[in-house]
Amino acid sequence: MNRCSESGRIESWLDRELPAPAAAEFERHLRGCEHCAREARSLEALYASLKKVPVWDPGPSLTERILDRVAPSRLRRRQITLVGWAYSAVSAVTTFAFISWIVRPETHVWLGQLVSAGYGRLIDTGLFALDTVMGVALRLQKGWGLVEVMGGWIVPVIRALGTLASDPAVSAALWASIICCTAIIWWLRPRPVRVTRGRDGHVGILAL
Amino acid sequence: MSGEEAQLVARCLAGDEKAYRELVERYQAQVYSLAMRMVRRAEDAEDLTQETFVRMFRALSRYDPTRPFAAWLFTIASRLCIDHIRRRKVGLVSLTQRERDSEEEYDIEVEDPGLKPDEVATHAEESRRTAELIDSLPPHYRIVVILRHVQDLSYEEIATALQLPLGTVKARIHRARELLKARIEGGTS
Repeated sequence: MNRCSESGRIESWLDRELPAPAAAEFERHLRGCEHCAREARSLEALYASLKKVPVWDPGPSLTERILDRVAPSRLRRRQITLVGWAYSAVSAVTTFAFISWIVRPETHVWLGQLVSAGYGRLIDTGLFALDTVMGVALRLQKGWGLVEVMGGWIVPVIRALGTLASDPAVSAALWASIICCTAIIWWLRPRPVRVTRGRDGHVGILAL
Repeated sequence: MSGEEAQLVARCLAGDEKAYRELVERYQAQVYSLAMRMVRRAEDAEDLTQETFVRMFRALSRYDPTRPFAAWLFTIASRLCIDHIRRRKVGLVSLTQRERDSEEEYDIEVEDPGLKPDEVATHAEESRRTAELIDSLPPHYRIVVILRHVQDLSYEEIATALQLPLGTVKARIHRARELLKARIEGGTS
């Protein structure tokens, strides 16, 4: 049978793409054209069978897998677990290194020297403190002004702190702790939830 | 987008985890089926489904609620599937066949339409046959047929999803239907 010139509109009609007047006109045509009617029936059958295509259900395991990647509490839990593991690993390595170091004979010698040096410094510091206290007491006894007494007491402390801070290791530790504290305070700052629905247009996958 | 879906999206944006679960459970079978039809490997389909939802949730704050949610989700899923096919150049193996190195056969779940056993068998057979026919189409025809007839997307939505001109989408769907019709008629004659 020859192809009908109107048969090109069958799919548009079935897809409801034709405007109402054109659809009505085509329906009138269908009633009179056997070729188009048969084509339409055949396509309708195809549409119907395509609708019956089965849907696979991947099951709850995939749901859990997806939620593990997207649910905020699970993400947090994952981050905490990660930090926990990292902390445990670092602790284990540090403990191992410390024990390995402490059992060495040279360490004992070095520790002995360190303890004796520390003991000496402790005595020096005690004498210094005693001297300061005695000085203060004597000055008070001599009837000096309170400001002079306080100044005389604070200056050695400032000097001692200055000496301590001039040590490169102490100064580096001090700066590191300042930076860490600043970073933690900055990270803990209250952040508003970004909800921009309706303002931005749809962004496709390329912009994800 | 329906009011219920809009509410679900709003709850997700507010961080309600029950809403996350509801959204995943509502669409995962459809996304998985699309991926399965396109890539034909259960593992890859699962990965693609997971990636689709991850990207969807990441971009949810930028989602335009005037668009149908399902269409937006399938846009993400179909682009991921196409990228995957381009990368892997997936072979044309029927979904109902066993994988070469595996004894495992894909499970096809057929919804119970409330029919008698012989009618159910006929319907299941018909569904299986249609699925096979779709699977036999080349990927660029298969995706448009799935999006149009299985996922009910409009021509415009398919064009947006696949980044194709509307005319190309219409031509591909027409050509795919012609192929399917010819194969059905060839099979029954």
